[in-house]
Amino acid sequence: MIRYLETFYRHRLLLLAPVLLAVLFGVALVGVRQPMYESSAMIWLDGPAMDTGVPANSTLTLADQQAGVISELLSTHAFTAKVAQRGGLSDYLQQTNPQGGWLSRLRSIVGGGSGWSVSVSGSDQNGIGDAAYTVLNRNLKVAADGPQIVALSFDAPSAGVAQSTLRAVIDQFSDETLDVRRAQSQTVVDFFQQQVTDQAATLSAADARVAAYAAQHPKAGSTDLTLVALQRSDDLARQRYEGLLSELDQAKLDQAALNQAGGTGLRLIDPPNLPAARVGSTSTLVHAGIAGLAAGLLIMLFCLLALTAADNSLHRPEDVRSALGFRLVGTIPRLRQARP
Amino acid sequence: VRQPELRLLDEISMRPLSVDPPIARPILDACSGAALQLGGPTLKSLGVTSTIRGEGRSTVAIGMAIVQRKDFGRKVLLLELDFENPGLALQLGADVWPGLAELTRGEATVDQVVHPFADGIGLVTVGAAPSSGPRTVVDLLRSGALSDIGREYDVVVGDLPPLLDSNFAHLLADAFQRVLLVVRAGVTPLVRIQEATAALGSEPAVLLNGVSSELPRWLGQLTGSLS
Repeated sequence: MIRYLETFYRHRLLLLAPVLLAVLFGVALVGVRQPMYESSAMIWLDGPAMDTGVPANSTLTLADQQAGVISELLSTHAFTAKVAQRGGLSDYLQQTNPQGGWLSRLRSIVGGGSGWSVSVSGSDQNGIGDAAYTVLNRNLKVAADGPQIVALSFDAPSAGVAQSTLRAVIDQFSDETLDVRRAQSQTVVDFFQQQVTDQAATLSAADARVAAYAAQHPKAGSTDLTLVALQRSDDLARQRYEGLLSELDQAKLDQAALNQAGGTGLRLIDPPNLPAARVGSTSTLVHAGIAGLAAGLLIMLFCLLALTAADNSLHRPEDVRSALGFRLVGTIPRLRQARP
Repeated sequence: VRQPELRLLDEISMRPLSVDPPIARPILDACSGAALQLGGPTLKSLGVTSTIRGEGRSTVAIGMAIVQRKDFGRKVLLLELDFENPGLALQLGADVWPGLAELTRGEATVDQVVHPFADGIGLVTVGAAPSSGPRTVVDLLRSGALSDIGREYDVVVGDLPPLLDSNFAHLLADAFQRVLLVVRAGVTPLVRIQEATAALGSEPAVLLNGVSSELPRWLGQLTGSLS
């Protein structure tokens, strides 16, 4: 232990330099990173916005299911492309060129994990689409924040882009939901429309049969079993027709309701905010400093072990007997050079 | 980096031994303690050597000579035997020649080669033919001239060449009653010391030069490495 302490104090500048450099390097890395702004929003779900196919007895809450739906949509290029176009993300990616200067290049290296450092040329729509896909998937966070609330947040180098993109995600999700619901509703209306038409024909035929029988048998009364049977069939056809008509009206009502506000079953509780401050700059700095310190200490420890192992000279009087086996008859302390 | 003690030896040379140089005192103290352990007033001859150059060998040899004179009042002969890199005479301000080379060639007598260095201390240099070192050493050992030179003195202190830098250092070391190996702390590799001392006829005593602890005083006391 004393050997290591001696080595440390003998080479203290050499050993402490990596620690200091690692801390400075970590802090500098954070310092040159792009500033990021986070916009967040919350959605209230009145009912399943989109059918997820999850069984009714599932332990997943409504918010869990719809958060999963949003995440699935984000994994499609079509959805992300629409969001990018809608929120201005495409324009931002087109205007931002990380190859512009040394600082931008450095930032693209440091901040490579966030996806904002991708380089696209002005006319490369596929490149912009891919970049938007990457950016959205790496910077948009979706999570259930209760049984009926879904929380969304999006990080971007610009506060405006963060807000507008998050707004676009919610709007696009709402539109997708509405489109699906409208399609489903139209299918229902079409179905009942066909049923009503068919039943109307059946009813007309039943009415005609009753009228024809009454014309052929003018004296037939309530005791005439055939007339009673025909009237009974006619009544059933009419009841069926009226039931289908009622179902059709309801379907049309539901279809009309989709066009009203709140028709998607979503309500925006907290709209996307315009962030005023950078995301976690202080905490990130602290984390980078701690990480640098840990790395520097590891390097220092390695150097300390290597220096101690490499030093095979005698330092202390007790080393003479243990290392050489010779008798020590005296020691001369290190003398400091007298200043003239 | 050499120890900064040699500058002060100029103050010692040719001056009464009552002069106490301030920085050389730790060296003299160490030599004094070492002299006692090496036989003190009964010591007849002492060869001071080292593994490599720059370990403080010549300084310790001078210190041992002074201690023998100061502490025990003995007549001391200081012999310079580093034929390949002589410098003791220049350092002490003594005449370079005549010396051992002239003595072995019969060009000078014993009385002529002994230069008074300080009160009670005589100095014999290697002389003016350092290139013929091996020949001179062989002649010295064969003729018994070393014994003849030291006959008038109580103790002979030899400044031997470094063991790994000279072909005949071991021969010269074996000619002395005791051998003192000066080791520079934190500088001389252990394997080199072991290599150098493997061929010595007797086990040398060690004087560790330049000992220092880099630990802060409080930590040294805590770990027990500082007393």
